[in-house]
Amino acid sequence: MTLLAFGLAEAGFVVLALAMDRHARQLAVRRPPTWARAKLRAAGLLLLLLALRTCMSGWGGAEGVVAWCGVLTLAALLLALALALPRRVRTATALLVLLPLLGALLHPG
Amino acid sequence: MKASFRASMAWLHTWCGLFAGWILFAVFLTGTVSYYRQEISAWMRPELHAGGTRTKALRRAETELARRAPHARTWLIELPDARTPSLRIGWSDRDGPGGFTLQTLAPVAPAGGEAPIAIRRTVGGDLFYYFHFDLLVLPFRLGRWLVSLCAVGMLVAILTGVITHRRIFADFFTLRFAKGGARAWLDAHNALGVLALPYHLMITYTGLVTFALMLMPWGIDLTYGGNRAAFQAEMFGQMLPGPRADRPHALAPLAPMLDAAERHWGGGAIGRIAVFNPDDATARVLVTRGDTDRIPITRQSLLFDGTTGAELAARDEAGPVEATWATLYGLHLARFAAPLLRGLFFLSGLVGTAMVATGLILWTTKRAGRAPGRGWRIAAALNAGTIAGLPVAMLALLWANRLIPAALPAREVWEFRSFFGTWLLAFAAATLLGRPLRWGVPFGVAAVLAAGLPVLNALTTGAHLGATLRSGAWGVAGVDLTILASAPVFACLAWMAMRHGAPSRTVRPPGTEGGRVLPVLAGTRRSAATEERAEVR
Repeated sequence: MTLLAFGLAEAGFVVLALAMDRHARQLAVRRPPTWARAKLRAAGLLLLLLALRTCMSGWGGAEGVVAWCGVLTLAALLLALALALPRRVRTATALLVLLPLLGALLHPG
Repeated sequence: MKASFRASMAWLHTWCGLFAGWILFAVFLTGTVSYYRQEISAWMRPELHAGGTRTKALRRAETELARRAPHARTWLIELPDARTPSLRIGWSDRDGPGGFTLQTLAPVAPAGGEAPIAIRRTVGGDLFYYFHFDLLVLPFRLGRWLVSLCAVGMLVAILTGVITHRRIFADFFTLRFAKGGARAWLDAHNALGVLALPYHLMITYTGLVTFALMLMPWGIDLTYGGNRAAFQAEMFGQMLPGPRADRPHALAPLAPMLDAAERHWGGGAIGRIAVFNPDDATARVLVTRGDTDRIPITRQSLLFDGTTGAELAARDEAGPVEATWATLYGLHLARFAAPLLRGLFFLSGLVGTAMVATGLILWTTKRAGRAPGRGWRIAAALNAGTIAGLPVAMLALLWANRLIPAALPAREVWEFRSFFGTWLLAFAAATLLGRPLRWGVPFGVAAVLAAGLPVLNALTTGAHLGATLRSGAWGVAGVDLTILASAPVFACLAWMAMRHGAPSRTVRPPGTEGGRVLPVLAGTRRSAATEERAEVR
């Protein structure tokens, strides 16, 4: 459950990063056009909210919110560290960041 | 008043952060490890890692207290639980609060003819816990006031920081280590600040709320006519022993009362048990609910007649004000947190610690280009002494726990001295050594101490990783493993410090930025083109 929440949060932040100028340049070859950015932002937020819902159903209401904050911090921290790596290592690292998401999808709950 | 709103906020952020920073770093680091206070305490009592059943522990507590202090006014019993393998008992002869003699025991009484397990006296994880709000070396309540003051400074620094570092949300995930110097430290400071912002705000605010009654007692004084004990009794369910009848009477067995309490709370955990006038006809037993199964730390309790075991009174639902306070307090202590959630709290705490550290280093790094004045030298020495010195002192405490003979009288005092002594030494080294060494040496020592601790543990006790991992004592094994994992981090920091001469060397980025004279103080110069650089101030 926590793994799923973490995967959703990580994915949400990656999508949000794609909507930001500097990070889009780091992540993608081409900058997404303006119309796509609003959609990316909405999709990213949606993923973060889904992570909240997952946390709350797993931990209960009050503790779920607390756990969500922790999960968000961990996910964002990992993305920031991944983006800080030199360009060459980044592709490999991006895979590493996405692995937990895959793991969560393969082992739901 | 500064030229613009943002410039005043930057000024406030800089100086609030700097002066509160050293204490805040120590508070954050010791507070963060306090999430594992029970585990550290258990680690520091290697004689005892196998818990017993509650029934046996309760029986032992009753026998020991009846033997050691049959006529005490108050008994205290803290039973072992999932995170604490030991039993704690205490007794006091005072009519008023306090005056307790406390003892930590094995939860199972030794079998006939068997020697009792001698548990070493130790400060345990309590040293970090109390240090993080009391500082322990200052008289009266000066430490608490100082920490509270710094917490206010932290709150100011967080709010002004959000305004000052204007691009934190635009460059949310930005870390440009390659650029080096002030830019890299600023990026790290921003990222650590913003990525755990909810935690930083929560922990600082709830920390202040914890001391709200000490900081602002006037409402209580007005309502209770200056009688704070009456307020304490009402708010926290703190009870004092009532008058004795001086008619001796045997105490009823406690176990049925605990069962009744558990039923009353729908399976809720039992916290502390207090027995008043245990040998008298006026005996009372107060069972308090534990705080490990829900966020708010409200004082729910049941009062029993100690002679008959009959339930006399229950203190259940808290009012809205108490519930709010209890929730904030509970969030700060995180006693409710299951292992995974506790891990996230720990991580966020480390992020907070690193944020304070990078902020402090940023201050000296930005100002290192000019001929350093006395203020800069003091700040640089304090930075190294605090940021690199405290981990060494904390590790030294754990080493002392294993090296000081277990039978030495008052050995916990020597543990205490080894912690503060090592830290003083680190400050002395930070003052005497030059730039790369004052960081490299303590970080190097910390790496050696951290890597060596599990080895020392294996050499001196039977509670080493090989044993604890096999028996499933995860708490104790976790302490060893975490410390072992910190060794390469310290080694890396030492290597970085020696290689770059940093963290206090200025790497001047290309362009005009280097050697700039403290723009915020020297009067702000800004232009549209220096949007990004303005942030570095």
